[in-house]
Amino acid sequence: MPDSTLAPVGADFESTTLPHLDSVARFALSLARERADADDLVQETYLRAFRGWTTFRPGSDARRWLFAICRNAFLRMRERRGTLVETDDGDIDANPAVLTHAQAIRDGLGDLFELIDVRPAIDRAIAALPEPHHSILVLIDLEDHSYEEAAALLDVPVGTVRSRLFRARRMIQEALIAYAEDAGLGRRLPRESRADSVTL
Amino acid sequence: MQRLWEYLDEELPPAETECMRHHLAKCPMCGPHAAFEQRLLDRIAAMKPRCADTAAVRRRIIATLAFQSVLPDWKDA
Repeated sequence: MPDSTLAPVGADFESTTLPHLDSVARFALSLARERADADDLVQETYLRAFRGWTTFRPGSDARRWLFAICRNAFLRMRERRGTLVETDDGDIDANPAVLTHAQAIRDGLGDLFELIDVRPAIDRAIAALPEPHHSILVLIDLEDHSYEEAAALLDVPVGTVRSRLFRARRMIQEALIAYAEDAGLGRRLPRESRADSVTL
Repeated sequence: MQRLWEYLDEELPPAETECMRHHLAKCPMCGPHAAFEQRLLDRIAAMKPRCADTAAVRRRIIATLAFQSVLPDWKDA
């Protein structure tokens, strides 16, 4: 709902973009993880959106447009802080870190999720994921978008979404293995056997 | 592994989903493995942020735009 009676351009901007504020705020929080950063990110998103309002094509997907602006603003924020880590897609199957259930049992980690609280490790692992894997995981695993929706939002093929998502999950698995071992569970494996590890 | 995650994400076509469901129900290796991966996905999904305070963010956005004179007629409701 509009907040006030606005000049024509402002009214269009408001009626088109503000209905998506909740979604954008949630997406920003998923990306930034910290409430204060997320609020700054939402504000920056809407400021950029207003400044670029003439580039918006009437009738197109405003939510998708705002998400793209939000993600770009987030990447810029990470870049400014020196926390932006990018990686290429590489070969997903070359990563030996994937933890099958059989391997987990063998390594003493079969009850990993029941034995320790893995939330702190997952939270840190998500924050530490490099781009573009971080954005993909946030969109699909935290924001419940389909592969196709995420592909449209990030303007990449669905196959790319799929491979980046699975690689991101493997990185989280790897971080959990390290976390569990640090907590005294399982047996420690040689570090050189672990590609793409995420430092916790 | 990729097909398993696609199955858990409900992204496989119906026929493949059915095949996978049958296989997981019978296979003593893959069934527990799928359950293990599902627990991982559940733990990741549990990290979803709680609803943001969008009323406060909304006020900030409108105030910022007004301050910058990009939208001088806006008033906070």
